[in-house]
Amino acid sequence: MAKKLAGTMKLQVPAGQANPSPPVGPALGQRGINIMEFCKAFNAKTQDMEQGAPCPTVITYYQDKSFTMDIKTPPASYYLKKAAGLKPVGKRNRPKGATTPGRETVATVTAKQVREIAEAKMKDLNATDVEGAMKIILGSAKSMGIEVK
Amino acid sequence: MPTFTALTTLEGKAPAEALGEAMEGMEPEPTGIGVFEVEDGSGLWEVGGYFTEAPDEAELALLAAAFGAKPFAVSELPETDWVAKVRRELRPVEAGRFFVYGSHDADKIPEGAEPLLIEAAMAFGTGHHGTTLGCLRALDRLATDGFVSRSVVDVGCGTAVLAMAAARIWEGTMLASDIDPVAVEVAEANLRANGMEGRVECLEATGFDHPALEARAPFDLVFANILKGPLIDLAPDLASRLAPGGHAILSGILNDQADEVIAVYARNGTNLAHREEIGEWTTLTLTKE
Repeated sequence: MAKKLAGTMKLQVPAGQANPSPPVGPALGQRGINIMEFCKAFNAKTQDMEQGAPCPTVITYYQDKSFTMDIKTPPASYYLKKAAGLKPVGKRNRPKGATTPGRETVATVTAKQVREIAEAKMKDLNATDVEGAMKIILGSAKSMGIEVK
Repeated sequence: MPTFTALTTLEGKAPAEALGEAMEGMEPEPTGIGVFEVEDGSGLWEVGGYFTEAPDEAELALLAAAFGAKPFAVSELPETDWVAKVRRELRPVEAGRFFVYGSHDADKIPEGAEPLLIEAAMAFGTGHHGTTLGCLRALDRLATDGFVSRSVVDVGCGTAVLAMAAARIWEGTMLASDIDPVAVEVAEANLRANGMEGRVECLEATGFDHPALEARAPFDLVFANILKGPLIDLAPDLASRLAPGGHAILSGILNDQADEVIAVYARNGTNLAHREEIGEWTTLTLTKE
């Protein structure tokens, strides 16, 4: 079919829990995209993931209101905070990293946990092997004030 | 939960995408970011962020200045039933005898129409586009003129709406192929939703490169609603698999591209029988000598 691109958008959608509330409803609804079909397809594709984990999702939509989606793995910061056991804070109930990273250590994770995170995120990272992916995760940990032991 | 939006425009896709990425680092962070081409030929792109609390307008001003964008317009969206709004917009499409509708409009099928249930979802071909509409109208026109097809293929089928439309009015098993495996899955789901299992065989294939397509050739009707470039590349293969006196319905062609496509197909022995423009898109019906 003559897929004429109309636009793209990137949303953070919780795995298995997409629904018409923000951001999905307004973001898709303003563009006339079929919200319920998106939610149905997204929830089906993420049913085997940890429910509620935030998934960056790139939605490409076409002139006839059809769409495709590319669901990424949750951000490294999500995995790191979870591994470090940081408690959720704030309005959105998310764990908080360091406010002065580099000078402040808020938590620690093990090298084994870093490897597990690297393996989980491998498909979305610009790395050719797990060791390369681990270096990227270590960089994220450092910027968040999380020390690796 | 309130939803705030921050919208701006700037020139060029790459700067727009870069600005969208930069917005991801904002605090409070956006829950969604959109990058959209403004469809007025201006070359402008719209970048927008969705927030559940008021965004930092000073940070937005810095981002706009850094990327050469206009100042962000920040507003709070009114409470809206977005699902109902979308359903109102995804209205049924009438194309000759065919009535293409989503499940929310199942009670609106006119008496005597050929209904096709297609949800606007993961494959192109919902009827809400001039190319699909043009193909359905061309099919309706051929059938009204008394043409009866016994072997139909829809190359680049998307939802398979065209092959299903043919199966609604003619006997036999139609073929539908797409290069995209997701489209093939959607097409098969659409067949089930329409109670048309066994009436259309869906295949994953590039062009005519599939044993089932080879075995069933020649065809007396070929749909190809793709784009100008692939249509021109496909011309020799398509024409050689069309039976003498058979028709090809081609779309995905911008109006100013139609003459070039007609000329290429004429060199391959298929000549223009009808053309229709819907908006910026042209649908061609060609007949093989």
